[in-house]
Order: sequence, then C-alpha cells, then structure tokens
Amino acid sequence: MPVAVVLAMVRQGAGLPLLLASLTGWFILAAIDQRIPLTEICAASIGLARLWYPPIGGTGQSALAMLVLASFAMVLAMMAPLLTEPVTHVWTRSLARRRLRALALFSLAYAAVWTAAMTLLAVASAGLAALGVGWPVSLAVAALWHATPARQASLNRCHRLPRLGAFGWAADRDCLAYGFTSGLWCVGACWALMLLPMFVERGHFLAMLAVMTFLLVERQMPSRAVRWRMPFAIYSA
Amino acid sequence: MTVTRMNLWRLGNDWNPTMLWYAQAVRDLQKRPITDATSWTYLAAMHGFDRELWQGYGYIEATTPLPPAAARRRDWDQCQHQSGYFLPWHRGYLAAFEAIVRASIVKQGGPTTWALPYWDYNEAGNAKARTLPLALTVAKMPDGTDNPLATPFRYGDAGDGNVDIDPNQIRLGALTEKAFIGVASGGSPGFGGIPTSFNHAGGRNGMLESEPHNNVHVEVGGQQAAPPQNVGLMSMPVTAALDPIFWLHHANIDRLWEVWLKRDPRHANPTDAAWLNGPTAPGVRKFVMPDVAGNPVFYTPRDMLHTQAQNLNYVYEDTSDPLGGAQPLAQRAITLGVAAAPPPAAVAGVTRQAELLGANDAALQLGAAPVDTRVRLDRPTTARVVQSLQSMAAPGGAAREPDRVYLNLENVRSESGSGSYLVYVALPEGANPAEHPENLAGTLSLFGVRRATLADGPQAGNGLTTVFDITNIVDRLHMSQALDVEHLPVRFVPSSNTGPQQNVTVGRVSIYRQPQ
Repeated sequence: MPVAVVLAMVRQGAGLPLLLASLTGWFILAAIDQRIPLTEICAASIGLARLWYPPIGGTGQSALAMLVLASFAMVLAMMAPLLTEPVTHVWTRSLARRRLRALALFSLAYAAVWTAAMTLLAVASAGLAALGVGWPVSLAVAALWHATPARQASLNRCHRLPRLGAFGWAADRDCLAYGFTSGLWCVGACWALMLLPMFVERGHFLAMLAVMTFLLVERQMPSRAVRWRMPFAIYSA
Repeated sequence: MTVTRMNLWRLGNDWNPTMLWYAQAVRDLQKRPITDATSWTYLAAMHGFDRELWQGYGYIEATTPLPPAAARRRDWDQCQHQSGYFLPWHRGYLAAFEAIVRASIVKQGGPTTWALPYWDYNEAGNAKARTLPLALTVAKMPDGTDNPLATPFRYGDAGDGNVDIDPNQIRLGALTEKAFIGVASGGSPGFGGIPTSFNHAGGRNGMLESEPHNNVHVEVGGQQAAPPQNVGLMSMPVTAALDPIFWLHHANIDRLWEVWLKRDPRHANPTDAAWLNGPTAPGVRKFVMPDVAGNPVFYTPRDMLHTQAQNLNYVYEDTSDPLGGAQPLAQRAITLGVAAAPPPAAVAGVTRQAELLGANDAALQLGAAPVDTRVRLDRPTTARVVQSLQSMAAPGGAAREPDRVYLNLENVRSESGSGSYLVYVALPEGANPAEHPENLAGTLSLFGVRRATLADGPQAGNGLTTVFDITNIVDRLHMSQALDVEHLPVRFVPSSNTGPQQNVTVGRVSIYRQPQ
C-alpha cells in the first residue's frame, strides 16, 4: 500500500519535489544524529534539565538551537510528503510569476507552526520520560486521541482548500494564513503520533518512518464523518 | 442480442408500448422493499441516499428497515460526479437498471428486447423536445391506475410542475472538447472530467457533466413556487434517481458520449491504466452494481468502453452529430479574421496545464437577485494571451492553436441552495443579459452543492468548481481591442428555477489561460 501511494505521488506534479524535500529532512536528521544521537536530543530517555546546558555533544551550539533544528528537520522529513494537496492548490491558484513566492509564504507559516509544536512536543516528551512515562503510555494516548471525533475533525480540516487572492498583499496574506491554519489542523491531527517515536529509544528512526508512512497513506483518503472511530483504521466510509 | 435505445419523443406522445412497459416495470420495482437490491428505492439509493430527505418525500418512514450496514457501505452513495469516472460509472448504473427493468417486463409477459429510451432535449426540428411527453406527466395510466412515471416532486424551471428546459442551458459545446480527461489546474476539465479517485460528491465538473447534465437536473427538478417550496427530486443527487425521468436523461448523457466519440476521429477514450482499472487507490471503494438477481457485480471503466460489449449490448437509435461537424478551431479562425485555420493538432493527449490570468477581489455571495463582480486581469499574462492570439494571423499560420481561456467559479458552497445562475462575461454596461447570448459563458448549476458543502463530507466542504470555456468571448474582445483592460465584468443572473431563499458562496471567480 505505501509503495502504491509513493508511486502515485511521484506521478503527480508536486509529489516528486515534496519527496525530495522529505529526503533532505531525513538527511539533516541523519547528519545531526552523527554529532549527537537524536535520542539524546528528543528521545524520552534524556533528562529535561540537560536540554538547557549548552554546549552538548561538543558542537558549541546551544542545545535549544539544536532541538529547534532537529524539530524543523523532523517536520520536513515527515510532513512534506503529506502536502501534495495544499502545495498543488497554492501552485495552481497563483499567478505563474508569484508561484514560488506563494509557496515560500505557505511553507514558512506551516513550518513555523509545526517546528514550534515539535519543539514543545520534544520538551514535553523529555519531561514525561523523566516522570517515568514510556512508549506504551504514549501509544495508548495516541490510540485514544485517534479514536476521538476531534481528531477526525482536525484531519478533515487538513483537506480544506481556501480562497487565495491573486494579487499583492491579499495573495501574500492568504498564503500565509493558509500555511498557518493548515499547520494548526495538521498538528491537531498528528501530534500524538509524532510524540510516539520520541519515546522509542531503539529503532527511533524506524518508528518515525512507520509513523510517516501511516500518516501519508491516511492523508490520501477522503475526509469522513466526525464520530468515535477505531484508532488507526484507514478506510473511506 | 443487441437492443436499441430509442428517442423518447420519436416513440410518440402517447402510451406507446415502450413507455407502457416502463411504467409497469417501475410499478413492480416500487413494490419491492428497500432491502431488495433490485427495488426502486435501493437502486436510487445507490446514486445517493439521505434518510431525512427521503422521509420528507415519503419514500421511507422512520421505522422502515434498511439493508445491512455493510451492503449500504458497499453499494449506496456511489454516484461518481466531478470526476473522469462520471460517464463510465453511470453507464454501468444504467445498464444494471435497464437489465432489472427488462427482467421485470419479461416476467410480466413483455418483450425481451425492451431498452431504455433516451430524452434528446436537443433534437432538431422538434419543438417539444425540451418538454416531457404525456406518459411521464399524466396522473393516470390508460387502465385508470396511478401513473408511476409521474411524480409530484418534479417542479420544472418555473416551479409549477411543467418542464420546459431553457435552450441556453443545454448547449452542446462539450462535444467539441478535444480530450476525454481534462486538467484540474483551471483549464478545460475535459469532455468526461478530471482524474480523481472514487469521487462521490464535490470537486470540479467535467464539461459534459456541467452542461447539459447538471443543468437539466435542476431545470427538471426545480423548486416548488408555492409553499412549502420543496426542492424537486431531480435537483439533488441524493434524490434524483427516484424520479423515473432520471434514467432517460442519463441515457441521453450516455448517448452523447457515443456522439462525441464518433463526431471526430481524434476523440478517444482514456487509455491509461489508472482510469481503465479505477478506482485503483488503495483502500477506496470500487464500482459495484446488482445483477437481475440482486447479486453484486464489480466493474471498472474498462468494462464500459463499448456499448456493444457482451455485458452491455445496446446501441442508440441516433448518434449523428448535432453540431454538423463544426470544429471550434475553424470558428476561431473566422472570429480572429484568419482565412485558413492552422492544421489541427494531430495527436490527442497533449493537454497542457493552465495558468492563472486573473481573479476577482473577494468571495462572492449569490442570492435571488443578479450579482456583479470584476475579474482583475494580470497584465503580463494577458499580454501572453494577446501574443498567442496574434500568432494565428502570422504569415504561414500558427504552429498550434492559440491559447484557450476559461472562467473558473471556484469552491461554490451552499448548505441549502438549489437552482442555477446564468453567468455572463463582459456584458456591455447597462445591457439586458437576455439580449446578449454571445456573452453567456455558461450556467452555474447547484446540482450536488449541498453534500459538497458538508465540512465533514468526503470533499471536506470544498464545494463545487465549474469551468466555462470563454475562448470565443475572449477572441471577440481581442478583435474589438477590448481585451487589454484592467478588469473583465462577470454577472450572475438567477435562472427561473432558482428559489427565493439562496445563500450561495463562490470562493473565487478566476480566469485561466491554457496553452494548446
């Protein structure tokens, strides 16, 4: 199933660039991991206090800056493939000469919301880990959230295609607003699953890949009625 | 044996055997419970079902037992709209219905060769073509029993129960579309629609689906002029197939697919596997119809390519070209003042993506009165269109057809709207729209808008998008030096089928150029 989805993406206009963006994100994550293991940065095993003691890992950068960079890379890696629909919307509904600018504004707002959220999630995961919370609890929380009507409503809003102005400030404002609201609904739909890999010490990358694959397949499905559901069940009814 | 679908009006304005048998079969199907997959109501629910509305019209009661949930999930709410699957899905739907009706007719001692008639509202030389013959309108059958082909919930364009379709809403420009599958980027959505997955409600209308299909639905269904101002069955996808005229209208739409294929040797069905075998996306529903015994039979567009394939086996009485072979390119050459048109593009499948040319400033609210908006044009992009138009008159002719231009009515939403709006582009100031049919871009029909507006429906409330080909209007503006302007005016005029209570939003009115 995931292979079919990826192949279908590559055939779409925006699919390939977004997959490349995702690969870039994974590359940055791998590069960071070379210096300081990701588990040190955002895995739940790290003590909360250590985050605020620069420098760590002998790099000279503050741990917070590293955390924000890792969060951004994680957003790029895991969320970019999910954006075919909004990126196509921004691209086709903008004047050709404004397309890159429109896309940049959308991405800026979207990434800002998600990077902030990821940073908070990483800090929260560290705090929770310090209290002895492990991945089974995180999985249970994710399962509970994915069963709720609120989560389905958030996911449905991710499919919303707003009006985009064509000219001047109206066009810029609409793209920024679209990126911002898309980011918020996306965080609403995905925060619980994005939290999960942070509690997985061994196989951290694999857990992230699994989460991304699930979200990618789910994002291709149409929106559906808002009600309590079996968590992680992907079907269109 | 191959059966022939006949022209409804040529069968006669009386109780001819074809319509008599149709009525008797409909009565038989209507007696079957909704839990029977060959019943009138089950078949209609496969197109679309809405418990509340169906109760309102009296087709079910609150206590009526429905089929098992699994069967409903597999079969009901299945109609494909705003999709390249629109034509093949409905072909399968019609074939299943026709087979079930024929089985009922044969069981009652009728002919084994019975076939669905088609309603050709464009029939040349027939002044009554846009109205309905007696068998569909009179209250009683010849034996004095109630006529199951007549329904009180068919209000017509004026809301008084009389059907008389506005000829401006059933133009056949879709037949001149070059490609079956179009683009979702603002250019032509194609004769048959755009590529989609399983697509039940909402998105971008294909050209044939938009006009005449959607417009006929709303012109026939209409909305009751008198209180309680009910909306007609045909006006909404969730009730449309409860009206017996639905099947005759769709037989004509299916026939126009054949007309399109035959009128130009370059016209062809899609050949890509995703369409032929669709819907192929993982986890999405497949197309399925009951056979005459009520057993589910799955199918794909590949099974629907030829009407004489074994599983279909029908032909139409008449598939001649109502446009007499007219080619849009030849028309453009005349408008643009060029003696000879450039050679038409030889190969289909060179559809290019479109590019935004301009848009209006804010979302638009439509109501019961005409509404005006202005589309601001982007100067550099307009210059490219002008350059392309000028290329046609270049010595030796253009290498390819100049840009085509499309008006997009994006994300049209309404929770309760029904009816339609005639949309005019570049009307002279103060002009009476009715006197300027040459400025009529098309008809914005609200068929399907309610479900497409549901925030938690399958289209996430993105509504409907309708695209009109305004190339001819733009060509004329260019020739009268009126294209190089800041704004193009667009006027929405409510059609007579539009009720007094409207709350319709058009997300954006935009214009796209599509290089050829």
